[in-house]
Amino acid sequence: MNKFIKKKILVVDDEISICMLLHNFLSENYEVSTMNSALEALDWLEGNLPDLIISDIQMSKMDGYEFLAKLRQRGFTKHTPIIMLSGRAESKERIKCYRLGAQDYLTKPFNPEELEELVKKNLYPIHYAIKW
Amino acid sequence: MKSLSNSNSSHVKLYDLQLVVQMCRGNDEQILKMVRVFIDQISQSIKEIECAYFENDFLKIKSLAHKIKPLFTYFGTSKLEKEFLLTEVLLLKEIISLELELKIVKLNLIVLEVISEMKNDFNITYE
Repeated sequence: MNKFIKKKILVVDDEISICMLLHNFLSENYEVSTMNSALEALDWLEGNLPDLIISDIQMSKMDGYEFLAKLRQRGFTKHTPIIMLSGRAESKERIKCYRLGAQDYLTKPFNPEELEELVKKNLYPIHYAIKW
Repeated sequence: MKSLSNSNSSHVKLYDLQLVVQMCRGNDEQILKMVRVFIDQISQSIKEIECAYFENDFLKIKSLAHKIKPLFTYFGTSKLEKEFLLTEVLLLKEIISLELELKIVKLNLIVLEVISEMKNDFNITYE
């Protein structure tokens, strides 16, 4: 794991408190940017390229599914790892996200340690695998 | 700032910030910011749920409920969470009833209690 250059994470959630919690938790080890809507995030992505995207599903104007589909259509974010967050625990929601190209799916309220592991797994897949 | 968790208190607190403290990595300034945002957000959401109920907009109620539910866990507001889940069961029936109306009133009262306790503990003075 590179200790000098922080990996960039984009968090997209229209709940300010969730954005703040994620920012507080992850910014110790990563450079975190937060956006309160998918549209705002797409705008931001025109000039920025994060190493990982964490996005909520239920958002107004553009939901997480549409956002995810758009990210996978865009050249620059086609291969960026994406973790989806949702209050829904049903497997059909997970399957829909995986089919649209998400790497992982976490149900809210999530355990911060689980999130941390998912972030590491997606940012450093080889290092993560070597641990085994 | 007083104790952040209810573990050492004889009075059963209406919230427990253990998870928030963990996610803020113990940073008091960030924790206080989180508490302020929670107070604002929960007051606003409950007001919106109440308004949506009187407009019979059950779709909006479900959406608002879905959004704020995780916050109860993060802020350890178990009494509020329990009452909210009971209210949600009634809301899902999409039928206006006296029982539901009373539940919403009760929910409002608990929210006010939680907010009052948080404001007192964190010396938050704004309205």
